[in-house]
Amino acid sequence: MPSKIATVYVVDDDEAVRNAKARLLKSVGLQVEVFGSARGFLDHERADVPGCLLLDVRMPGLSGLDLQQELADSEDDLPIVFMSAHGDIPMSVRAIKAGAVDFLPKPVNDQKLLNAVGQAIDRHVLLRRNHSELSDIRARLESLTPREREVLMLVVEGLMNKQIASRLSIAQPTVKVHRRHVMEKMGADSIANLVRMVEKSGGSTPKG
Amino acid sequence: MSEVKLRGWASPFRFFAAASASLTLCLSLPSLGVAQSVGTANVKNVVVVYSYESVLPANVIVDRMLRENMRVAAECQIEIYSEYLDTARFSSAGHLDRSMAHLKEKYSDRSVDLLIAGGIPALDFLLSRRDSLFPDSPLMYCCIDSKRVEADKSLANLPGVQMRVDPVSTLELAKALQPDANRLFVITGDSNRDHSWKMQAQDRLSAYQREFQIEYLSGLPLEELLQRVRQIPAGAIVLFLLYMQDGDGHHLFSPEVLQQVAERSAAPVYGVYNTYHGNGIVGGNFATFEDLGKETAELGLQILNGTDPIEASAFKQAPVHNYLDWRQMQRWGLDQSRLPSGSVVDFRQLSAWERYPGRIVAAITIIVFQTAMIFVLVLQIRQRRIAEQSRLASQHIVQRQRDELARVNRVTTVGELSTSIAHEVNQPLDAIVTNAQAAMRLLRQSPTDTEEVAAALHDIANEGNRAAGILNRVRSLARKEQPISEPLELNEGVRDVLRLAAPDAQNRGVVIHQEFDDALPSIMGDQIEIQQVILNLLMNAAQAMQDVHPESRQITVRTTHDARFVQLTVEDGGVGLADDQLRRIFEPFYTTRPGGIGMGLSISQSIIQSHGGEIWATQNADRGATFHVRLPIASSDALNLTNV
Repeated sequence: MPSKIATVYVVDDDEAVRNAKARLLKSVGLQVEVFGSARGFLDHERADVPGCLLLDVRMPGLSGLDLQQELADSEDDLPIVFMSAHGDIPMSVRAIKAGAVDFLPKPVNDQKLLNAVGQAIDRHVLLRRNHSELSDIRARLESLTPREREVLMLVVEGLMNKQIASRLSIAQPTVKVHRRHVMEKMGADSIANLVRMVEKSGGSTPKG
Repeated sequence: MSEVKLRGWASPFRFFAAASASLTLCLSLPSLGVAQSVGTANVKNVVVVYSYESVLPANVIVDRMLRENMRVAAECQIEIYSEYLDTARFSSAGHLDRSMAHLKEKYSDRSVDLLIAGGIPALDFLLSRRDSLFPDSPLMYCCIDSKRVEADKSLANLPGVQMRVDPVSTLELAKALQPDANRLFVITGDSNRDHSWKMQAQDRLSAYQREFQIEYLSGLPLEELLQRVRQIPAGAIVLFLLYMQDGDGHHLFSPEVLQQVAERSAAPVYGVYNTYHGNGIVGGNFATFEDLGKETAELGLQILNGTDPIEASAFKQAPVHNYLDWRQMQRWGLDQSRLPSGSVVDFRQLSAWERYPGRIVAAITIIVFQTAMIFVLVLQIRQRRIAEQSRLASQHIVQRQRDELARVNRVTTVGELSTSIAHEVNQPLDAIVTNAQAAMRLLRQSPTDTEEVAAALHDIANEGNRAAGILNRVRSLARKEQPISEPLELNEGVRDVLRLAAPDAQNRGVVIHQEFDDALPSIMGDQIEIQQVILNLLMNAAQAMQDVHPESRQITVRTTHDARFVQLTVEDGGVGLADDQLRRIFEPFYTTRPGGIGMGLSISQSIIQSHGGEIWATQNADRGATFHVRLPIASSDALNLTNV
């Protein structure tokens, strides 16, 4: 169960509000960490666990939206649930477009809050999983030699060994050896599997 | 010296003035003078022989008139000698003989150019003794009753001035004044002359028998007379003729008797002699002794100038008039308009105005002036008071308008802050709701974490109070009460305002720094108004930084104090103010911000000024502007007073 270890980071300048939120989230068994400011959250060393951010939009200094921007800039995909004491439609649109899971007006209904938080954590779990597979593929691609990468790209394009040998001006048996190494290194049991991994990694292989 | 019998009613003493005042004038011509040892040729000697004593008013008047008129008019020097036979008091024949001898002796050394006889006794005396006394001196008379002259042939050729004494004309005068009178009382005394007068009156008044019931009070003792006159019915006419002697034989002085009679009489008294005039009669028809004296002087001068005595004997009469006593007419309420024309009213009591016109005019002028001054002063005071009242009223109106404007400004500001306020209220509400929901979830769990539930409930209560506090602050800003003056802690006021304004500032990305002087003394003032000023300054500062770089959006709120003042500064990093703006920023409706109405700072200024403080703005050295508010420190007296 990912939720067992999931952590909700509550960022609100209002101590009463953030304490109340923490109390509610804890009551359903979630791990909660509270921060009085966006800066405080950013400066905090986060554990590598799934989780989400419950963020007040309006705060002195760095606002909720500012924090969202900062996280995006640093490719941090921690899902965000926004809260706002006053419903500001342009603000909520902006937040959702930038990837927020939800935008909740205060006072927040507990079920909606918990749903949004749960949804955000699920997304984070998924994101984390995707993220780990991709890094795996990327690591395997990294392990290929430049010639093997060339061969891989041509295989993925669907060329025959003979065509590859001709394109790379190498002997056909050499192509076969490279091809076997690629399959081994990428851990692919079929050409189709290999193609999927390449697509996932970004559709292209890094050039030598 | 031949004996002279005093003619007529020789009265023992005293004469009554006018009535019997017949004067004997002795006149001697110089050419006939016995001796001329004294005086010169152009000196003419006139001897006037009066019947009675020298102090008799009639004698005094006539003597004065003679001296004044003869001396003035004559071309030569005229010496007047007055002699008084005093026959009323010395009535014996021997007295007259002695008088004659005395006169003869006295004037033996000079000529007598004219003899004047004053009154009947004197005339009789001179006529009977003239030959032996002043045989050659021309004789004339003065003040002799015309009836006597008519009756006595011996007087026909004698020059003189007659006196007409007539009860009828006086009665006519009385009738004119009292047309309704039907009773007549005639008063005479008990002397011979009194009786003669009575008979004469009975004769003359017989014509009035039908008109009047006539009663003669004649020869009564004085006491009885006075008693009788009291009982005279009102509306009757009293005619006082003569009273030389009363029924008890006392010699009396008619004018004096008249005075007593008039005092007691129940009806108006009239008299026939000039000397009664002013002594109690309403009036009478007679000649004055002044006029008699004057006429006598004229006639005497003619004789001295050589006019034939016979020719001159065409006797003269002094003018006779109705003479009236104004005081008596007033006393009896007699109508002056009934008087026959030509009547003379004397003794009119001058009114104060007639006596002292100058002083009265002066007094009235002063009074009028003073009154005018008082009026002007009163008017000025009144105007001043009205002006004061209207000034107070207008001050009151201005104050009310200012208060109302300030309130509108607060409400407007609160309106501008409504988003921020909503946020501010929503925070505790959110905390409450969330805590409540958490508590419910906790209660459903087993085992229940009661400590956590209690903590949630505790927070709910706190947050409820916090929300109420915010609403109170908002409501107080919109309240309508009169500003009051109470001790205030400026820092507290600033903190309160920051709670309201901070969310808005945050929304604008503004950071507010607070630098409070912890030892700040109290001030006196109205909490709401002071907070309004702070709020206006904060809103202005926040708005001034709308378009500047987010890094620059900083406000510093600072409090400081010195010996006399506490000071609040609000420093922003905004666009700042040009010199022109610094000058005009506190003017009403002056605004640098689109959509602003330009009242905030103007109202803030009026509030601070009403607190005895000052507000001004300066341009910061780097960027933005600073607003300064200086308020006087509350005196210890004021603090003690409000603490009581």
